[in-house]
Amino acid sequence: MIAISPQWFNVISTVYNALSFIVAGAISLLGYKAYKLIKEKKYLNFSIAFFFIMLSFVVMALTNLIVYLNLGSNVSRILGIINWGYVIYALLTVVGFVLLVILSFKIKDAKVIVIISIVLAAALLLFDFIMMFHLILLLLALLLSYHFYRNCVEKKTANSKLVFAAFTSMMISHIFHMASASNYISAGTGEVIYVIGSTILVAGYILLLAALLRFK
Amino acid sequence: MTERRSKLEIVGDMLKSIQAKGGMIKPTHLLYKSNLSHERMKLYVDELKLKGLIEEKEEKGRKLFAITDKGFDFLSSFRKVKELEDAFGI
Repeated sequence: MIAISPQWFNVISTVYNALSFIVAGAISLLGYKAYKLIKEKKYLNFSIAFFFIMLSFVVMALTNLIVYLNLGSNVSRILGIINWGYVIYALLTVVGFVLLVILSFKIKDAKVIVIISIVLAAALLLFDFIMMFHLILLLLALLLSYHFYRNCVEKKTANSKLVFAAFTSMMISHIFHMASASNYISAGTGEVIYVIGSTILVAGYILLLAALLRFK
Repeated sequence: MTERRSKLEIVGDMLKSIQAKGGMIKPTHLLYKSNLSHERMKLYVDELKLKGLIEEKEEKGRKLFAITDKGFDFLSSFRKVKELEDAFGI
């Protein structure tokens, strides 16, 4: 279960992860500061959601680092590290996005939250992990894009447009990532599609950074 | 129908009104600008004074409310929170 990432892309991928980590961390911090100021739980949940997303990039970076430092040692051990790293990265990302969906759609019913969690966990465990991970993130990003679109129409601010564009980019990136992992695509083409998907994903985080930088 | 303002929005509106008047405002103007009943405004004013965000001053025998440095800091943070809220629709 290894993501199709070409070797030459590893360094660029690390830069992408670092950038995404900084953006997610900055948003989490801003949410926490809002919570400290206002003491409203929604800001804390918002901060926690982005904290999980930030952690996912830490795990990805650590996995890349461990693999890089272990180059030349036991291949099966390296593959194991990559697999576990990817699983933890995927779970942290899904938790972060689910929290954002719960917050955005103001889902308060505990039963609904438990059902969503069980369905997602079962889907990840029972089907092809990479495919299911990207499909779940595609659906979650689709829901979030819809929420941010409505917000954008209502608020009409540049920042709300940037956030909408950011999550739409993230949604599109997962279509590319799903395609790259497909059995119907050759390994070479899959690698190119994976790189495009990762670039679109980081573009999403750059759009979020642009929104953050506009905050006075 | 307009949505009810949150406590935070009311506090923000009150501080913005004081800032817009050059940092000091007459109680009657604040009452008008904050769009609250006299009783509710008094509650908010007491809380803002307690938190050190505004202070009472006297000028030519008239009572005025002045925004403090802490109040200005709060207003700046409040604007960021509002921008975050507007950007993400939370």
